[in-house]
Amino acid sequence: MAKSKKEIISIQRISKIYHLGETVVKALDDVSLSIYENDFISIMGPSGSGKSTLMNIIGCLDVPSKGVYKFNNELISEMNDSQLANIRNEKIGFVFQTFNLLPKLNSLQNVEVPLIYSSLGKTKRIERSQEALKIVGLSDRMTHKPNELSGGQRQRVAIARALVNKPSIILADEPTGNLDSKSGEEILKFFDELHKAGNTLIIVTHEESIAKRAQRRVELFDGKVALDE
Amino acid sequence: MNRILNYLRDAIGGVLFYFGQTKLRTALTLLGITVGVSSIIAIMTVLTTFEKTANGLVSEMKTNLFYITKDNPIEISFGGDGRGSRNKPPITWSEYEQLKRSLTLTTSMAAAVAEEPSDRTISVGKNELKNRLSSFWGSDGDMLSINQYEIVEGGRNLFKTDMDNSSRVAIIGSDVKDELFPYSDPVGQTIKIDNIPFEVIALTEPKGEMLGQSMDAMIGIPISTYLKYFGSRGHKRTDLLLMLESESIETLDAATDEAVGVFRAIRKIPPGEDNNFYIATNDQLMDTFGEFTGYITIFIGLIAGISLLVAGIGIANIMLVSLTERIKEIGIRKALGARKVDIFLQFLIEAILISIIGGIVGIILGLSFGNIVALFLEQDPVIPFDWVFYSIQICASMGIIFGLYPAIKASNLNPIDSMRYE
Repeated sequence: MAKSKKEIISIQRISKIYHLGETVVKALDDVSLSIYENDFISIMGPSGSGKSTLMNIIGCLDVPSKGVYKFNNELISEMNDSQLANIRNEKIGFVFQTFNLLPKLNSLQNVEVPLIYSSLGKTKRIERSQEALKIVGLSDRMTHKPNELSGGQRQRVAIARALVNKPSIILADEPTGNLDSKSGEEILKFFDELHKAGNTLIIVTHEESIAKRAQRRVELFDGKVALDE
Repeated sequence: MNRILNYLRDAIGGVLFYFGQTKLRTALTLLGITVGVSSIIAIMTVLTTFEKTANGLVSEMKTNLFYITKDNPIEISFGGDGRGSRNKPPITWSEYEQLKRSLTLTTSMAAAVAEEPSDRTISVGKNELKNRLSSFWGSDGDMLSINQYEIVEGGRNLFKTDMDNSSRVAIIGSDVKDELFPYSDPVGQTIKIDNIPFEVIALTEPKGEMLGQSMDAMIGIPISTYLKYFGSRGHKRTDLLLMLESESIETLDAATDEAVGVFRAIRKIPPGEDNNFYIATNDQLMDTFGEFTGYITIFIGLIAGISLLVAGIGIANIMLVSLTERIKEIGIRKALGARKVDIFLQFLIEAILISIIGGIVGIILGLSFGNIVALFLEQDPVIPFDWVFYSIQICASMGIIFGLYPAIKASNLNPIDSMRYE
């Protein structure tokens, strides 16, 4: 493993504990993980293993109950809501299983959404969004609404939206889960290209075939790291 | 700054889209605001035209004039309860003559009696006037110039000798002429009032309508003649309106004080008891009018306030419905970097926009309605800019007040849970 690379994510002994009435659920139990620039990581594990919780924490949607999480050397685990929102906005590109596009906006407007929350002028915003749609090969679908696009195309719009703020990591949660195998393959090829272009990718999945493409794989079981190779 | 512009653009787009999706629901919500705002604007438009007319009248009236009447004329004409008037004695001719002899600070004085409207039968030969007169008056003063009538050439005003002799002479308005003397000059001809023949001595120029009443369905005669032929109980109980004039505006207060004192003495009112008559200067009449419009404003304000409160609850409701429909959207936006304050502002701006759009529709409707009424009453159209401005302010504050709770609720949603919400 190329330890000489810049460490982007440093997770040290984090736990996430939920209280459901009387019972205490340890979704993550003393997990440590480092992710470096241009890594291509798959996070695997059966449902209930804590991979969603880990993804939420990496994605700054949630904070750990215990432990230290640093992102580019910034201490995430002690940030407030709006600081977390800024990190999500500037540093993390999300790709979701269900695409999570806004149905009333067209492709271009969907890609623009993250830029609305960064202080970018309107012309710059449109330029950047068009650029991102060009990268995913959808320049000819800019004015289409999500319901006018195929599943694969929707996911490509979502990827364009993830790329538009030039994030430090791209975090994908079962990105092919809702796609047929052909479109899924297209998306995965696209991830390979993004990796080659120097992006850092984290894919949460339970599919072996996807995990194989990643250069590193982390397996979770019962809230603990069972494998990291 | 860019962020704010981004929200605004986003929110306007969002609101317009949302309106398109839920036309009926939004229209019903807007209806409440529209009704509230349009009622404020309509009433204020009408009142503004009234005030303008009243101010115009007063500025043309002499300000060193004052009046003695049984009752406050404005309270009567605007539907006062008239409780006091039954107990008050009428102002009689003999009181007028005593007053005339005693007052020193009053330079001139006139009495008038007016039936407004009048049910007297007016006829020429076999032709009877179909509509009733809007005014039938008798006076020994220059009523024509006080009420700004012009005499058509060939006629003459009432003279002192007409009063002294109780002459049966009459001045008629153009409506009376048009109906009873359609093809001839009425001056010199005979007109019958309750079958008593009068000689027409003048025709007045048409004045048109005021507050829906024709100013030209009018007949005026000498007051002595009126009392002789039309006064009640041999004219002793006929209620008079007295018009008094002080030498100048500076001596007006002293002259009114004197008149009150002398009139109380004539009526032998013991000290400490209230006047059983009403004395008013033109300024006071304006104040009373202002008071009256003030009450209307408060009353309408109350109605508008209630309808706006209901409308506000409607806004809060529609925003909460919109919130539950958009939980997923909020979650996605938050995941993509929207902070609490971003979502809060987005919702608040939407609520304000809904209210203001409703308000603008209300303003347009209110202005149209108010001015149609004004036009109907032959008033010049006006736009009460101050109230237009207040209405926009009221709507914006309503958006803020009633959008606050939904906006806070939206901003506090957790992104992880809301993104999963279907």
